Amino acid sequence: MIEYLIIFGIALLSIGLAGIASSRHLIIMLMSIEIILVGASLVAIAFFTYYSGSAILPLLFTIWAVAASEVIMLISFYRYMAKGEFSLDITKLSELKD
Amino acid sequence: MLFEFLIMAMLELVSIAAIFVLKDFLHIGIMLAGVFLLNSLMFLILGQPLLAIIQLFILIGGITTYIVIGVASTSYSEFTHTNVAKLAVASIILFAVIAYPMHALQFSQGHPNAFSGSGISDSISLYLPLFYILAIMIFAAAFGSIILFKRIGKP
Repeated sequence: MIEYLIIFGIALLSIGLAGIASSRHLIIMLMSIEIILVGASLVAIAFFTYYSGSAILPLLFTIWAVAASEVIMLISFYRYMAKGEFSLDITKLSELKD
Repeated sequence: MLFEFLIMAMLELVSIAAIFVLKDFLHIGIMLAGVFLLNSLMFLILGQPLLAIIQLFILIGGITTYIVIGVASTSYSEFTHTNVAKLAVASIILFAVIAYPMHALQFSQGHPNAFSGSGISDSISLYLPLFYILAIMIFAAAFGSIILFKRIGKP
């Protein structure tokens, strides 16, 4: 069973990485990162369940904390960009250099 | 157990595909909530109900609500945001490259704590300082975002 969980975690990691590479929208990239973190939490819980390594639990909480923190910060950034009438197409972010 | 896991995995992959195809952010937020819910159900299948509920609270209660309120209330993607063909090809190549070494691994059965929840209370007390640091990290991010929101409000 743990093999299936790890394979599925790797699938989520791959989709997330490919999503970051192939998307242009800031929020879709943010959601891709969330998908990567969901895959990481799944692999962590698989090891916690099957090998009872208690040291994995802080890793799991760290994953959740990183997920929550980056959403909070990136959505603030998104609101800033949306309010300032910047394009949300990240290929046009070079406009921000001024 | 394997059958339920496969059903959840299929549904989760469908939800993830919908995230990259849909254009309305309200629907995308709902699909992301579906991904989180199905992931929590997998935790439940593995016999970790406490962690499943914690994940449900953090990811759906916090993150999805924040995304729906912060983003979906205001926007709709006006351009094709994802190259779906590129996404599919890149996912398959990355998956093949990362998962290939797995076929040589042999997983020995450890000491499972499935369906017992044992180990959770021990590790929580053992790593309490780390959890405090994590809590401070989230608090700092939330506080900083409030300051940012206030600044955005001013012209």
